[in-house]
Amino acid sequence: MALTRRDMIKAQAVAAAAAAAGLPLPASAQNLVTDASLTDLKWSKAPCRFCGTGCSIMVATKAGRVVASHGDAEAPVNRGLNCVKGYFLSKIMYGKDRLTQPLLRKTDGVYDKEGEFTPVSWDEAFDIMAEKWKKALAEKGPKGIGMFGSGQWTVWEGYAASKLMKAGFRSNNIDPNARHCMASAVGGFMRTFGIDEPMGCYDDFENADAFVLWGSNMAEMHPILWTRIADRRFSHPGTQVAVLSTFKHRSFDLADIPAIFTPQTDMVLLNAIANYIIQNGAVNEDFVSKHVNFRKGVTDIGYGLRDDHPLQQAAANPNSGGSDPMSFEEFAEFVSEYTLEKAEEMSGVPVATIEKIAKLYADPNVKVMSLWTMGANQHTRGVWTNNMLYNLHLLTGKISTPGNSPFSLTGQPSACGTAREVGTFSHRLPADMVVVNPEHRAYAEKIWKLPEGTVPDWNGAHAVVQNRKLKDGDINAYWVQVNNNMQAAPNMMEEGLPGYRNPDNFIVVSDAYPTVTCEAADLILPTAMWVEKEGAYGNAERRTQFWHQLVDAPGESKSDMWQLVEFSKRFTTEEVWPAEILDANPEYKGKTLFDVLFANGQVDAFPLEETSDEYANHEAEDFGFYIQKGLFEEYAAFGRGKAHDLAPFETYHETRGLRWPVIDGKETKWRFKEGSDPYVTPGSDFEFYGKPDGKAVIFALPYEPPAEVPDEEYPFWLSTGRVLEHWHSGSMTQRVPELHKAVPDALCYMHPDDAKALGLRRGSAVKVSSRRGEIHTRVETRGRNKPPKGLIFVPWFDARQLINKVTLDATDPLSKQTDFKKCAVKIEALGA
Amino acid sequence: MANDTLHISSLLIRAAPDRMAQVIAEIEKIPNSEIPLQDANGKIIVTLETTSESEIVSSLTDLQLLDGVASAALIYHQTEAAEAAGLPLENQI
Repeated sequence: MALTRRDMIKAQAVAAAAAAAGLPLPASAQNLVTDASLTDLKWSKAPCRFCGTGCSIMVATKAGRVVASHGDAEAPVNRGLNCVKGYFLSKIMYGKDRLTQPLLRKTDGVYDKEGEFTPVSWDEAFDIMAEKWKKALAEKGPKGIGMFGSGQWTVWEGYAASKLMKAGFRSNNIDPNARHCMASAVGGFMRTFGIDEPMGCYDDFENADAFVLWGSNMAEMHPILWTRIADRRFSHPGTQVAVLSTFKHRSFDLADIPAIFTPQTDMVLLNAIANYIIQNGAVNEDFVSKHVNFRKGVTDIGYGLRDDHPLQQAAANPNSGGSDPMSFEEFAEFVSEYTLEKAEEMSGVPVATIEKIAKLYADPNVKVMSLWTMGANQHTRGVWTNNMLYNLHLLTGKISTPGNSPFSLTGQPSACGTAREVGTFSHRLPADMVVVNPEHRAYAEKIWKLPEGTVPDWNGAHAVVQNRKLKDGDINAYWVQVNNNMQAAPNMMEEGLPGYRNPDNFIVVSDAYPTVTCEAADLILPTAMWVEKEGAYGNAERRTQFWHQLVDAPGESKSDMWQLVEFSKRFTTEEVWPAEILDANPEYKGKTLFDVLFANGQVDAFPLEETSDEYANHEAEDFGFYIQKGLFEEYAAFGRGKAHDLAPFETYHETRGLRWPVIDGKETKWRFKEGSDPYVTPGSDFEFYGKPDGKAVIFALPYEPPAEVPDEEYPFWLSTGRVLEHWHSGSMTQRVPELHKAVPDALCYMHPDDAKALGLRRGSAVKVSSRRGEIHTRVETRGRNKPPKGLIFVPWFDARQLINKVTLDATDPLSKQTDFKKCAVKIEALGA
Repeated sequence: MANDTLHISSLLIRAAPDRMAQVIAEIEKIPNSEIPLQDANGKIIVTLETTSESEIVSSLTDLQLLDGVASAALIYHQTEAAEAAGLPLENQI
């Protein structure tokens, strides 16, 4: 029987799966796959473009298109596996409605805010942009412009954006969409450890005896990491998995200890477990006495709403992150009111269940990994909740050693690598430095070879404030890249849309596809994505990964980095810098921002000859130098010697990524522990060197109620989130028609008894409304998300059913991250 | 709706070892699926082959959501013109 190409492809598919599973390959398949001449595919590595796990994918191109992919067996993260989202990697670039040329709103051939989107050249696009930016800068100064970026920016895109905004336009009004997902995690790290990102790594999965999920549906959102937990659970006898959530979801299938708690009472449970550890003599006194300080946090801090909101005015200490030293005994006294009985009363979780979870932490022989994502971060006390999670690991000394790991998971592919490490937040600079610190600004100005005083000393507008300032007409020129914020941001009817459509404002959106945000813009820039450019991402375990440009972008699409750097040529220093800076530094006069930021002898230091012979690199060709390498090396200078060391540029093209700090070519798996982290002072055992005295902080923080709770008029809790088949707002995954069919409409998941009491059935059309807005959707009572009575869950990916019309823009007052997990709604039947 | 592209993919399923038989019986009900390899520890390799795009995606989703399945990972995916896929290898080289 003649073998066909189908047989060969199948044999390759089986061989790749067998390699990933560690199973022996049938001989019949072996012969086929070893004959490389049978394939006309070119295989290259690239990190997955979707979530923060950082799986490495082998990508095959043929005739300039991506045609196949498989999990990279050489990758330590995913070991040949790939989740269902990976199926779409080869298709996300080929949606029928891909944008291919700049589109400007015009009437009768001229720009008109109310006009129709009309194709224009890049030149015309940059002309009108530059005009609007110059007008805003002249009228309002640097605070009159703004930029909203992403944890999906590559490292050098985020770096170029941050440098253009903070050093070029001298405006800190730049924030990433990571504000919506990771800001509370960052706040937690900085407050407890003084340095961002997890101390442990994914190797903890194979070393832990217990896993506790605090508000994360890993089975659907981080399936590859969940596979590693499942492997550990099935292969290591005695492994326990505890899953805590406000509703039952897919991860409960593997739970030995399931727990459904009332929204916001995770804080009660955390304090009750801390109290249990103390009451049962399980404090690691040696560790605590040497490596921990205790502090009492300021309380009653409000909800990050507008200052005139009644809830803000009622708060005693709005937005305060202050704290005072306290003793261990005082801390013990503070948490002593949180008994298991009180915790049961407030959370609804039985005492016996809480005790089981507490014992995982208290038992010195159990290595425990805590994992959390949006449940803990999208929380009006998100920073506190992160602090309180660390409290449990610090009290017991279960940290920074294999399997003992408080682990903050990440949602976006480079929320860590770009948003956090590059510091594209409105208050940050690279390597955990901040704009309000004069020494940090001076350090940045020195590396950037810019005059003293170039980087402004004020905290810029963060995500939610940007929308408020657009609405109020304080920011008039605004650029959005790699995200769909009109769909993602809270309270879109009252803040988002009025801001974008404010006649005083000019809104630019760079995207590959026409999203809701594009539709709200005035100028749309077609953007190259993923392997259409050379890129770098950093994942949740500090692993930096690179990829080459593998295919060309369609039409006139250009990468975000190209757009940023090209735009910088349109401005001279005289147009954007004050006279006093230029008078004191006359050598900067008469130059463009491109000259001073990107042709500065550093970013343009590496010639085209250093780019790969094997792969195209359109941006390097356009600018005439290896711009990705130049941007990376200049950026890396910030972190080298400061515990954020990155390896030389080329190394990352050769490896499946390395976890920083990379010292003498070696990555660091567990930070803060002598023997595994070279930054720890010899003899100190542990050293939390992000803090001046090397000690981490345990914070005494109470339960405080959420901004809104169900009442008679709005009797249900509303929680939002994602589902397996879609990723974030769905602007890429929903391009793939069959994926969209899998879960065609966002549903309102609710308890069957609640539905019955309202006279509703599965499939009934309903109106879900809050004090702010409403959506129409359908009831689902049998889905895999099973809320308890009194709570509904609505996923937020569906552009036609924007649940964020309903959500409240209450934020964590410290991190400014929005709480999408709880507000009060009512549900009413619609006809038919 | 059939089209002119063939999709071939492989998945690694991690099932609870004590529920293997039940999981395999469920997988066998999914159209266009085969089980070329499995082991007693709960690892099952499944290949999917179809010309209908929506079918392959619903199969992926169904597999992942089967009772007893802890995780389903996609390993390999390739698209191929259906016409070329049926050709003998000798004509391709």
